[in-house]
Amino acid sequence: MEERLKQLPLRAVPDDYADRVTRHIARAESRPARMANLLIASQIAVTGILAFLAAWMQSGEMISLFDSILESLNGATNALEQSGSAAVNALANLPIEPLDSLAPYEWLTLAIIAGIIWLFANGLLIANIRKENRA
Amino acid sequence: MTDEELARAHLAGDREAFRELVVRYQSRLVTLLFRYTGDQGIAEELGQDAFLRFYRALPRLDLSQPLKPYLYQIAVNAARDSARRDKSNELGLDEAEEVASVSWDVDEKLSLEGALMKLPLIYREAITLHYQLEMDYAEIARALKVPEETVRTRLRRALEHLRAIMKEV
Repeated sequence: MEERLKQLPLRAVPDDYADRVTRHIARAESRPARMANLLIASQIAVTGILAFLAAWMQSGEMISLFDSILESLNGATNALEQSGSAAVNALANLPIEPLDSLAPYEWLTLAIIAGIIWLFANGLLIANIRKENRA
Repeated sequence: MTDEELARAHLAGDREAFRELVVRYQSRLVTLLFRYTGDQGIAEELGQDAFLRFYRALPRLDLSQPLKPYLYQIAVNAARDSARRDKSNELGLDEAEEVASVSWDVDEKLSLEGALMKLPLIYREAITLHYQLEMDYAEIARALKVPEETVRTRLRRALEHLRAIMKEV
């Protein structure tokens, strides 16, 4: 019986089975890579936008833009304040003035910090995807 | 080239080396997986997944040790995971006396392989690993995560069952 078991033939597989296996592996391996590439591309794009914004802020145009936004907000809240609502008063007292007083270099610092946080978060995400891929 | 040399070549960037490993083990792996499923197509699909797991594990493996037992262990795990995922799969993994429920062609019932497929799964896998894939008791024990003595007992009982089935035919 034992000899007969040893002589049992192995199952035959299709001629292209090894190719199917390698294609299956290639597909499975490329999925996380595509995701990681997408993340890297979006990371580069957002970093570029942040850098552009930082440069723009340096020129002072951003300050003017924020000024006009704050003026609009103040106008809107003043109008609402007149209605006498307590909720509106609370809204009107929101500390939005400090934004107005930020110097261009402070905006630049904020942009750089935001960029670093963005890069770090995406780096962690990409590392995690690659780790899952190896598991 | 040995398996371990092929694995080193693969890790060094040789694209053909892993394919060579697949060619070397594809029939044995599909045979093992067929014992679990009784279906050639499903066995081939599970084989693909087992090779994928092996591919991903290779960079972490100790290449001073034989790779073959590790590959079979991955295949066993893949088959068991698949059986767990598929609730309707009737292949019991823990019930030693559970009768195999895989479909089988009437003509093949007369053959030794047909009789083998009538064995409970735990006996079928032990017989396949030992007699067809030439693993020793220690390697089977590691692959199945059971004591070596359990492997001996299963093989002995498997042969008894098999003889009984063959007498019935």
